[in-house]
Amino acid sequence: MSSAAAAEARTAARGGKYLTFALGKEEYGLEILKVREIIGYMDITAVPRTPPYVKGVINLRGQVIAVIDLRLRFGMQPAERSDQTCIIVVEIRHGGRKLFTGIIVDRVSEVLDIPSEKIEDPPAFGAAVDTDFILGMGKIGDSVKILLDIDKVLGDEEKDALAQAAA
Amino acid sequence: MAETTMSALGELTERLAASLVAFDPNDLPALADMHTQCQAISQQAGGLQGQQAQGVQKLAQTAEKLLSQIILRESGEEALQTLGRTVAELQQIVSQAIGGEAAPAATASSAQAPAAPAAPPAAQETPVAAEETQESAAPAAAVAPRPPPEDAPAQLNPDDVPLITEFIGEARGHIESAEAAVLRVEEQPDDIEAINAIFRSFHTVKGVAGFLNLGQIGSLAHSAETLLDLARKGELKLSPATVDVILEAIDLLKEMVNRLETEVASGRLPGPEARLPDVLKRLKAATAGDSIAPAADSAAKAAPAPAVTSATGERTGSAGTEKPAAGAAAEATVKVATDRLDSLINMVGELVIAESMVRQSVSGLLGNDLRLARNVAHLGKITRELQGLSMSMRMVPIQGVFQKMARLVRDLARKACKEIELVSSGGETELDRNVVEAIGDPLVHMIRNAVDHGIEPPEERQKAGKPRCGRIDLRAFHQGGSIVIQISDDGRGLNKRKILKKAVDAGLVREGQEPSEQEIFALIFHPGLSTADRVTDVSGRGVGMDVVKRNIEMLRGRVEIASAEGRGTTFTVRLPLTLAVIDGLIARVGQERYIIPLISIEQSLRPTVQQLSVVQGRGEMCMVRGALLPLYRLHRLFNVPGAVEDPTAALLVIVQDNQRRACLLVDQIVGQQQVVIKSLGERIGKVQGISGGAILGDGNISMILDVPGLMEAAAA
Repeated sequence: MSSAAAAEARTAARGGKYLTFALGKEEYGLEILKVREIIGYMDITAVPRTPPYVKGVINLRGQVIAVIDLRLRFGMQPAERSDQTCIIVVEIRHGGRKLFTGIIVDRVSEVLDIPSEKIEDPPAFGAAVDTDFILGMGKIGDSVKILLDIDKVLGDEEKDALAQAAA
Repeated sequence: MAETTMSALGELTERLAASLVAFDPNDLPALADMHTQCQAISQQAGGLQGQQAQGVQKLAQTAEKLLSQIILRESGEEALQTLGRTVAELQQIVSQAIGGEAAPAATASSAQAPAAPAAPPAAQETPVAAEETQESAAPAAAVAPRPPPEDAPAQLNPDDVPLITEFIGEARGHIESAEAAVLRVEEQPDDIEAINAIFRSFHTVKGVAGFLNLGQIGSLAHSAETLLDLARKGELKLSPATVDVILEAIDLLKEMVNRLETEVASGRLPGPEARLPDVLKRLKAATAGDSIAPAADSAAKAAPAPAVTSATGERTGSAGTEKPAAGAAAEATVKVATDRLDSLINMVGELVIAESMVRQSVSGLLGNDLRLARNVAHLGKITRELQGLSMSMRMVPIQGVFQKMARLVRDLARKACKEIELVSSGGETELDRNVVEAIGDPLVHMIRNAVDHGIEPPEERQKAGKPRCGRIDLRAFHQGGSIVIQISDDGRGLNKRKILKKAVDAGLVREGQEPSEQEIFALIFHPGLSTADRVTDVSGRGVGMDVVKRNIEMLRGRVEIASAEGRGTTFTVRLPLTLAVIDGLIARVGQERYIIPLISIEQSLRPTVQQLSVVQGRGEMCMVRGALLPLYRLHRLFNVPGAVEDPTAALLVIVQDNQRRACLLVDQIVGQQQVVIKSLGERIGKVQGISGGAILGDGNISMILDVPGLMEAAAA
């Protein structure tokens, strides 16, 4: 009973506006409150000696921000750049600090209002992605959007290391 | 006296006192209200018998008159002060009458006497009015310290927090200048100017602490001030013991201020300081014990020891002229939060970049449009001036750090029973605030090493035919776009043989290898050699020198050693002027551009086939002017595709770090530019071989190479 109630509370908190985007054939959603802006693909300066999914850094109006290739982060095949490739700048909170990070996606789709009753917990079986970063599955009509917990996409362990480096 | 009238009178007086607290000479309705209250008081008192009632009536009438003067704007500040005094006295009489105490005839004529309420209940309810009266009534008494409040931790008023924060910063400044002055006094006990400086520092700290109700700090500063007051009047000679006590007081004050900061940050005021009573006692003992002329002997006060008087007399002239000089030195300043300053500097950095972007995009049009060309040039000039100005705003003299070193040498030398003189010069040299903050620790380390291991004990020095007193020189100066800080001692110098032996034992150097003098000295920075305690005895130096080197490298600086056995050692630290901007060479590798800091570059050259060789086990090497240097291919280190593979078709940039040199293979040198350093952001963090990013004129980001880190990465 109590676990069901807790699950319900969690689901209720998940309802809201999501920015949806595509990576390959799959559609993903990102809480709109985490999104700062969407920019077209631009030249990225590679930073040597970093993991492959760290594409490098860009100059966002004078601020240097890191850019992550979400495909590589999720272990997918890299894709050719197209007109639709873009960078979503997201804001991640960690220990009271704001970090801006860009994520490269194939294409941005739309902003959807997904009510909490349309959101289900991620399936427990293996999927193309690690279920740890998944907030839930949003059912829109016949399609399913994978709603991402972008804070977790960056990896807790990794973020701790970052916070330590910054301290 | 009629009870009811009395209590009505009490109420009226209290209301009057309360309105006085919120007194605003422009608030006419309030003034009129107070006027009515005074009339009522005088009426009530008029219906009563006795001396007290008469006094009350008289006072109320005085207040009434004063109020009407204020309302009609016939009078200024004095009327207000008199009003305050009058009301306070009124209150006192009334409350005494209510309390049933037959007060001695207090009349309006005694209005000049300071009102010292013997804690009557009513007076306590309006402390502000009472305090106002106290101060205005006895300006002389205001200089004397008010009794420090109880030691019990007072409640922290949230409104006070910004004031206290400001006080903490100010107090630190005062403590620092007091410390410097104390060291001057120690050398020249009759330096009245220095004594005055210490006195002023304590005096200011005391004043502000009193205002903020920081009783403990106040009483410490007060006791020290009393001691120094005697000293500056020539009534007390500052013996070494006294100076020690003053330094102790300064140390304790420093700690109390630090404690205050942490406690206030967590919303409290610090509790009683355990060591305070002890230090206070010693200060008082010094004040009383060493006093040449006790206050009782007024004749002696007028004519203390003649020698002292003449010294004082001589100095009075300079002390007199000193005041305007100090005024001129303290130019009008504004305190600005450092993060605001930092963001201003960042914004200016952006402006510089934006300006060069604009210039690049219109460069094709400039030939045809003279007006545009002129305007663009003008914009560029302003931008550069703005950049220089904003950079200079963050520059602070290194003097403060040098002062700390003076204190350190004094304490360490005493502890080690050595005689050491610290001579510093160039304290006015300015560095970026961040550099000044970060250079303190490495300097402390190097000075400590010089005192502990560099300078010999006096007897040993005498035997070696040197003066008993050792000497450490601390210098700062500009040299070719960087700041140089030099620490030299005239001690025993580094023992090359022993360092080398140790290095061979530790496996850092192979037996039979003959490293150069510089290479041997550089060994003391090696963590394997320098952290071990035993090296201290061997090399005479070395505890934590690796940390020193790392810290200096973090500031993008370098450290060099020169030493002659028996004659001393010199450490030369070279630092960039500022942390925010560097001069760099832009090198292209494939499609990437990297910025190599100019400070690490020796030269660049295109090698011939004869210069290149591959040494077994050590990789590619290049012979440059007789020295065989390792050759590192940047494109391999950084995995850059499409770079020039043939060194003879590319360029070699010779970089150096602490006598370690290497060649970096790049495709081409694109240009030289001053760039603003940007961190790569917390997302990426620290990358070995990269110290940050810089936004180039075209808006693209380019990586700035961290040469020491790069060499380590390449050698690994």
